[in-house]
Amino acid sequence: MMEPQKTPAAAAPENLPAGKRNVCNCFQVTYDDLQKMLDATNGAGFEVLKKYYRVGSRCTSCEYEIKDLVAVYREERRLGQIGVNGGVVPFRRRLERAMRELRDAVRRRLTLRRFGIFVVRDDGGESSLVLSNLKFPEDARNANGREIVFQVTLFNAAGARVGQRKNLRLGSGASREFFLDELFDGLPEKFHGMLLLDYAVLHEVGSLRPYCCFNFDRAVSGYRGRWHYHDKYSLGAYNGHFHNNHPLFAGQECWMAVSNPCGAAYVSVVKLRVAGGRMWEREFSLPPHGSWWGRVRDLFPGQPALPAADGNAVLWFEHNQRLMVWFFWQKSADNIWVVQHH
Amino acid sequence: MSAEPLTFLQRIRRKTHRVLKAFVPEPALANELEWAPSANFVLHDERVSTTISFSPLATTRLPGRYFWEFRLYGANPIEPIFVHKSDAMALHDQVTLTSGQIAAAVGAERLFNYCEVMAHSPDTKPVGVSSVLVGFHHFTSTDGSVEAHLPAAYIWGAARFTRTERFHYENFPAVKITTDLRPVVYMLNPFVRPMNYWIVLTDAEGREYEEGPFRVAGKGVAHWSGARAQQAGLASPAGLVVRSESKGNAFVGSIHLPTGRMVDLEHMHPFFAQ
Repeated sequence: MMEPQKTPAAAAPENLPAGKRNVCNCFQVTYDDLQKMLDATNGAGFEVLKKYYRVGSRCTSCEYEIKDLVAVYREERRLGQIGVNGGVVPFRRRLERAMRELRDAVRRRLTLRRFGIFVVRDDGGESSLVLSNLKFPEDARNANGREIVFQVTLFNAAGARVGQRKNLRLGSGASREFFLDELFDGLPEKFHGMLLLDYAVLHEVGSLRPYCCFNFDRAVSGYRGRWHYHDKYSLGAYNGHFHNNHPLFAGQECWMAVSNPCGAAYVSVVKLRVAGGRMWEREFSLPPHGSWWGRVRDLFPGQPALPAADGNAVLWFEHNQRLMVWFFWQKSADNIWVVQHH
Repeated sequence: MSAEPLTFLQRIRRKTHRVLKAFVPEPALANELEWAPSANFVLHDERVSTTISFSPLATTRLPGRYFWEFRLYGANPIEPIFVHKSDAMALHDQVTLTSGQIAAAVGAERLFNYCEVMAHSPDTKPVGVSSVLVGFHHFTSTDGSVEAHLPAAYIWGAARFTRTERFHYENFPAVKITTDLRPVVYMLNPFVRPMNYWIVLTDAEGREYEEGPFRVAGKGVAHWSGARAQQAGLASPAGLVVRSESKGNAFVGSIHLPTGRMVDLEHMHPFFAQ
């Protein structure tokens, strides 16, 4: 067992002078720093401090404390009959912000915006791509212009490219649903694979992180249910384990959807442990851009059958190479499917 | 590792981006993140139940001791009505708690409550952008009325730059509003103070429809039924935005009216600034 980390007593927050305590931990802004900002800006509000000093702009956990400190500062000034107008931002800060905006604008024009998501068409239902191109509500106009242009590329289970649609467009404020048949010709009745979506130029991702819907319970009038799930594209190694806390839930069949976004094969071991510590494991591999779709209970052929249900079972992949993983729970008794990424 | 297949233009963009990143560094950020809490909600009655499971392996690969503390809140935002603390867990251990156990402990037959989890380790720090040790809630019912599987919502700690101005926002794409399908929203307030929130729908023809303000109590969960929106004649599908005074966490669902069943429930995302 690893020993707890020892923190030097002098660096412990409770031993620091009050002014040296971090208010915004992300940007290492101390109480004293904040007082200097308030002096320099003549008591600016949280929004101004965030905009020009970035304080509170990352994880936001200090938002309430900063708002309170601003209120205290203003109240003390008012009691001392010193007015505050909060409208002064030093020239250097304005210049820094302008430079930052320029840098970000250049970067956004150059950055590749690729997203990836698993798609399936099977007896149980079929995936559709859904997008909403919404303006940030407090902006006068959509940061991505009047419309966005994108392309989609589809790979089959073996990782082979089966089609590409270019020059798709979505206007500002519009929402659209695209079924696979609308995007690609000649797909087989049963299909599963990976869909990559590339935006041509995206100044902000905004609301454009792609989702799919898994449409199920087909009726004459269309599908009765559809479950949203969103993209998980990344190429970096994962800091945790792709896993599932409920792979053997009573009364439900758990399905697994996996896509390999990387140009290298994925080779790992998948493990499942039930209450009492009994383990199942097997090697699991996927070709570059390949996908896997199937029941969790079919993951371990040739091994003893998994228990029908186990509320404390857990399933995980050992290797940290990037995968995109979703789980689908099928409750046949009520004809409902539930989808979630992990 | 390659991201092929990329077009020639995409490859140029990616290389240029790498060069630019090297010459225009990100602002200095604290590199020692702390484990942060997460939020969710619990449903329980004679038909519906919630199973809550957590394993440290979700977010980390570092061996060490991990602890999971679950708190359920009622009317008082500063005093949880139920607390469960795990023993020290190893990396691959799992703890599971059911709404039946919680209901029995608090003496309630029905639960629709905000809950919060603080999972942490005295031995390890978060690595990368994920500073929350995430658990999952699996909802099920005897009559099919509520089936869902939700990850815990980040209160803080999502180390991405998101758009926030006067209000906080979360968005959700392509919600269907038909005679058979009605949208619903579950809104969490992870803070002690109450807050207001609004629902804004932009329909397929670009028309905006807004409802609110609605109040959600501190450490509370609220439910927006979508009944009025369904009668507003909106063209489907619609983009849904939740506007809130503080950083709340919202889940969007869909009710199939002929059967009364939940046929969709997923978490929202903020407007990303990247």
